[in-house]
Parts: sequence; C-alpha cells; structure tokens
Amino acid sequence: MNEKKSKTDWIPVVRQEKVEEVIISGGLFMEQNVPAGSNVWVLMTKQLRYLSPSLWGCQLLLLCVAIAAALITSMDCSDAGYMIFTMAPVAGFLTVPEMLKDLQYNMSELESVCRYDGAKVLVLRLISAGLINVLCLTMISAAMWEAFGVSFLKTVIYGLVPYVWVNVINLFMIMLLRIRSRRVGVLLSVIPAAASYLFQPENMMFYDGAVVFWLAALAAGVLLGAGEVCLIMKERNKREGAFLWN
Amino acid sequence: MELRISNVTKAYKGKRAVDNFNLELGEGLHGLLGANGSGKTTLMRMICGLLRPTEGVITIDGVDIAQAGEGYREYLGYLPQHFGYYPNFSAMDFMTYIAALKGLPKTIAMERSESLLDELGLYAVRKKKLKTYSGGMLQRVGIAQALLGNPKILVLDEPTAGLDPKERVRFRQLLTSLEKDKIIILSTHIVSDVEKIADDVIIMKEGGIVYRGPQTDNLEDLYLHFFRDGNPEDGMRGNLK
Repeated sequence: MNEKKSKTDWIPVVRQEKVEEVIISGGLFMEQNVPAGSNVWVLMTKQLRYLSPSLWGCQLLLLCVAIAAALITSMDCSDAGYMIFTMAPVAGFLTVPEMLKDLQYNMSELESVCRYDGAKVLVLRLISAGLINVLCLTMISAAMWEAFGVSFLKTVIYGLVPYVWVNVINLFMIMLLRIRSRRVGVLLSVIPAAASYLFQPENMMFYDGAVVFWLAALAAGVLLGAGEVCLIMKERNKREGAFLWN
Repeated sequence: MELRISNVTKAYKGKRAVDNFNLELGEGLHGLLGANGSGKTTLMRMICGLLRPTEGVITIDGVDIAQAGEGYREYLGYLPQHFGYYPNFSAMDFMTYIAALKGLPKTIAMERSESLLDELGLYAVRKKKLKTYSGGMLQRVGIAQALLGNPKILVLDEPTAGLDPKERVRFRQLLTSLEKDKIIILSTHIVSDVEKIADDVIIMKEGGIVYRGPQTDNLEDLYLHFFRDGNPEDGMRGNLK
C-alpha cells in the first residue's frame, strides 16, 4: 500500500534548462498582454473609484441626518414616510451629473477606444452610483423602521419613488439640452430636486392602501429611466462624435 | 497586418474634413504630417472607430473595423490630441483603470503599468495624483496608457505636444525601440517629430494626401513646399525653425 502511494507521488527530476525554458516562455506570454477580459467585479470597483468624494459625502451626510432624526425626534409613521420622501431627492441630485465627469475631463474619447467602451462604462457607472444611493436609502429606511416601527418595505418605496423620478427628470433635461459640463449638470439637477418639494403629498398618501400607487409610480420611473439609458447608449454607439471634445 | 482606408470621406455640415481618402498602412512607423485643420485628427478618430465615415470604409485585414468592434479595439492603443485624465487618480490608478477597460488581467495590468511608468521616468511619482503633474509628465502618462496591452495598432495624435526638447528626444527613442510588428501612426504638424524615425511619410492637406513616400533628407523643404501659403497661425513654420 505504502509502496503504491510512493509511486504515484513520484516527482520527476526536471532539468535546469527545461525550467529556464518554461520561465522564458512564461515571461514572453506575460509580455504579450493578451486581453483576457476584466470581470465585472473589477470593472465595478474601478467605477467606484471614479465616483467623486462629493457623492460619497452627500450620502454620508444624509445618513447621519436620518439617524440623528430617528434618535432625537418623535414622529408618527406618516411623518417618517414624509421625511424619507424629502430626503431621497437630495441623495439623487448628484448622481446624474456624476455621469458627465468623463466629458468634463475629456476622458470619453480615451474610454471609447477601449475594449469595454463608453456605452458599457456608462451603464456600469449608473449601476455603481445607483447601488450606493439605494444602499443609503435602505439604511435610512432601516433606521426609520427601527425607531418608528414604519413598515420597512413602505419606507424603501417612499424613498425610491422620488429618487428614481429626480434622476429620470435630470437625465431627460441633460439629454434635451445636450449638457456636457458637470457643473452645469449639478446646477440643473437642483431644479427637479427642488420641484419635488413643491409636490407635497398629503399625509394620506402614506397609508396602506396607497402602496399600489407608489409601486406603480416606481415601475413607471424605472421604465422611463431604462429607456433614457438605452437612448444614450444608442447615441454613443452611433459614434458620430457627440461625446467628443471638439 | 494591413489597415486599409478606402474612399473615406467625413463631412461635417457640408464641409469635408476628410475627402475621398485612400491609404494602405502596413507594419512600421508612419508619419502623418499636416497643418492644423488639414483633417488629421478626424482621420485618426475614424481609424480608432470614434467617428464613422460619411462614405467609404476602413478595414483591418479585410474586415470592416465597424463590424470588428470589440475585437478591433483590443488591438488598438490611442493617444488623443487632447489627452484627458481624472485629476484625483494617481498615475498608477489611471493605468490600472485603463487596463481594466482594455480587459487586461489584474496581475499583468499591474506589472505592465509599473514597467511602462518606469520606462517613461514616472515610476518614482506613480502614486502622486495626476493633478500635481506637469504638462510633460501628463503627456508621458498618455503615451504609457496607449502602450498598455501591447497594441498592434498604435495611433498617436500630436504626441509631443507639451513635451520639452529633451523629452521629445526621449519619446523618439521610445518609438524607435518599439517592436516592428505594429502599425504605428504618428500624426503631427511638427516635421522634426517624424524626421528620421518614420518609415514612410504622408502629408495631408485639405482632407487629402498631397504626398506619400519614404523618409527623405529634405522633409522640411518638402513640407514647406506644400504649405508655402499656409496660415502662420498653424505654427508649422515656427516649429520647423
């Protein structure tokens, strides 16, 4: 038994020349730099690095405000729902202008000649920024749920609806006016964020029966947003220079 | 490998930036000379697939580059005329970011980025943010990123802009040291950039070719011959001196 094992474990002696040959071949392969494809996780983490500190800071600030409010104030379910509704547009107002950063820094030309071109990168960016926003809103909702006993699902929806719609309107204005500057984009995005405060849903909108309305508004916003992203991708794939410096 | 530009025209609002252009490019270093506004950048952008020709077709080994898409871009290294960068990235961040977009595996990307930055004299400052770099240093980062992925087609649009004379010499040395199995297109309005190092010279004027031939000793005179009545603002005479 032991003899058999020792035979299968036998390691052949390799000549030094052979070892060197393998090392040289490996080195030559490394020099070739054949693209093997970055996995989605690597691309996503690179896009997280792309996002500005201002976007991260804005999320952190909102989170702190929400937690402080949950700790020191006394609200009923309706007030808590309304508070999330008013906070969400602030979370969203920096997201769309962030997508213009490649144009602001004249990087779109360089990114568009890479294997993963501008259109794909834009989608990755939207997903990265969106995930951060949604994560922040979820944490705020969790704080409200814990402090005031508001249904977790409902608080998430109350946040997502204004968030999605602010982004949809931002994106629409940027497409319509062909904005290429991030600063102008940020200024412009204040309008839908501010407009959302004019739309003050009555407290009765935060009752159980209105959930269907909220879900319908969310679905409509997501569909419109997806349509806008498809249009942008189509425009970029046309390669007619709309995203070039001059 | 052969890059063929057949009857290519690019028109912007009725004005033809590139007009019925025909060119075949094989492996080697091709110098594309022309005054500002002669259509060089538009041509470079079409070669890189950033712009689609209004008419005509660009092929690589017989395949339309628009159809080849991702497969073609894998072969491509590009330095745009106006090199952009994210100011909060360090040189190393920037290189690995571009490497990820080019689809290079992480370990190879790190190793190749470090070696290129070393080759271009930026290794010591590779962790510093790009916003602290001088114009010449940024241009070197641009050249380094174009060389990532060992591209088979290297397109350099005004690569020496912002480089001081010493750096220009170094850049020329780097270009000549590159392997000869690449198609390298160097577009410039500065004759000395292509003098002596280009295998063949193409002179562009008003969107078309006015001269194509091998490297000559009197390239400056030849260039001036075509642009004798050129606009002094295009800077070519100044650069020639």
